[in-house]
Amino acid sequence: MSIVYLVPGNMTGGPYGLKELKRREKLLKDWSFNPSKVKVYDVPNGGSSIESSYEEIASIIPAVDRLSEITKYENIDAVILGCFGDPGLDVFREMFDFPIIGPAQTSMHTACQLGHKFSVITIFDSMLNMAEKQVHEYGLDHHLASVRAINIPVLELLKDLDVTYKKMSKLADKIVNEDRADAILLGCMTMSFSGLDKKIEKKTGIPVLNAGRTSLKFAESLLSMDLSHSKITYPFPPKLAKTQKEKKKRA
Amino acid sequence: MMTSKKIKIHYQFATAKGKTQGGSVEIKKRENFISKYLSKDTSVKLSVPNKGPGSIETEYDEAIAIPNVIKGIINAEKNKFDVAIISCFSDPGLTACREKVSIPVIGSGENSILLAGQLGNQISILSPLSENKETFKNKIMRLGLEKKYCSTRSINTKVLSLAKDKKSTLDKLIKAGKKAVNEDGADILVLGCMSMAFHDITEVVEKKLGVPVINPVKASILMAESLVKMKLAHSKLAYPTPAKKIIY
Repeated sequence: MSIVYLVPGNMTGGPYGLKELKRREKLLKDWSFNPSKVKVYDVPNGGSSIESSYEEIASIIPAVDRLSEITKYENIDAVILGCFGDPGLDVFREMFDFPIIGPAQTSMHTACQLGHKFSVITIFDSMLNMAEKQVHEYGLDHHLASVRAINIPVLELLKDLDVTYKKMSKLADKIVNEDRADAILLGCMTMSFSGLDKKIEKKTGIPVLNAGRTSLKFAESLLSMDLSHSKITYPFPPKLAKTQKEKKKRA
Repeated sequence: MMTSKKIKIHYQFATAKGKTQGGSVEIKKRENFISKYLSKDTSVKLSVPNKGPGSIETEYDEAIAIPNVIKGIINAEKNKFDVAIISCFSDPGLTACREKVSIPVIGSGENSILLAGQLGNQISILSPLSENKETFKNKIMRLGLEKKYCSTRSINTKVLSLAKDKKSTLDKLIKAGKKAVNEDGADILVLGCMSMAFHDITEVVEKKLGVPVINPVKASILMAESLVKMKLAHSKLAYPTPAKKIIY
């Protein structure tokens, strides 16, 4: 029985390495009601970070394949997609019955209960539209105050936390004073795992949502309620079902 | 880091059920139901107003209930509760409470609709009476979730009659749920009344209909625990504390 946090890329082989993967696992365990259940995996044949639509889409199939492979030896209760782009959320939900949690989707919905309008801090200016599109897709347009970019590459966010904090806090001030948001979402998992959320919250006085922690709590809640996504919304691909049946017949 | 501190949940009723004999039996039943979903380091205290409507089925009922709800939740904060839940699908007094206190306040209706929005795209609410349709529509619009709203289907049963015949309530819910799924195109259902939710029939309905069914009671308890664990509460920028003023 486990809650799997799946990094949809090759973290172990990248600059952050296995150490960072284990650090995230430790944090997730600390946040969990049932630490022994939480496991972090990555996708060895995936990319090193996701900072464009292209990289997002390219990550999906290897990540789905990786998860299928994990299901062979791991009894999975729920999966958290370890990227704020929620890459392939629909695809995963079609392919699997257990709950698949998109960090953006769940932190955006949580933010709606904490304030009227939220802002998202993303990585690059070139990604502003990606975050906006997500909000439209989730039907939460009314709740979006703004998307702002920190303009530090994902793989450099943890290099110098002081620099990251300074930039983040400058953005947060603008978000509160210019964009009139009343909650902030850290729109990248590396940002969420940076440990800066509560610091920014203290400085701005408004809730700052850590997407990693929010996803874990949501996963646990769904398991307690024995709930998953609607299979009417996310049906298993019919053609694949047919081939699977045929395969079984032949076997 | 993990906190070993016990989470204290204040569970605020909007209806005055305590006075009648049936009411106190019902309250005990509800307490037992909630206890099933609590983590081991969480405790819950039910708060039932002495006065107020016996059930909430209209905006008028809500208006009568609101002052009691607000009083209860202000007290909860004074008495060091970590989080408060308003136990009524209409969320009477939710925004007012958030203005008055700093501890997180969860609206059973708002929370379950936002949960449903994450698991499906076409939300239908099962309501006791057809009059609820209008209030629910208002709620959806306030939440800005029109895109994901499919319909409200009522079972034409008064709230206080729901507990009387569990079997008949269950049958009606399944019938209404089927209409929501087959005729309206719903892919997820929400029980739109606490008296339905406390019936402990969610799984049966879910199994019969093959779509997820949200139980607002369970969902609110779990959200309460989650928010406390994450040390999150509503934004005071969104819900500013009202200035003290003379009430004439």
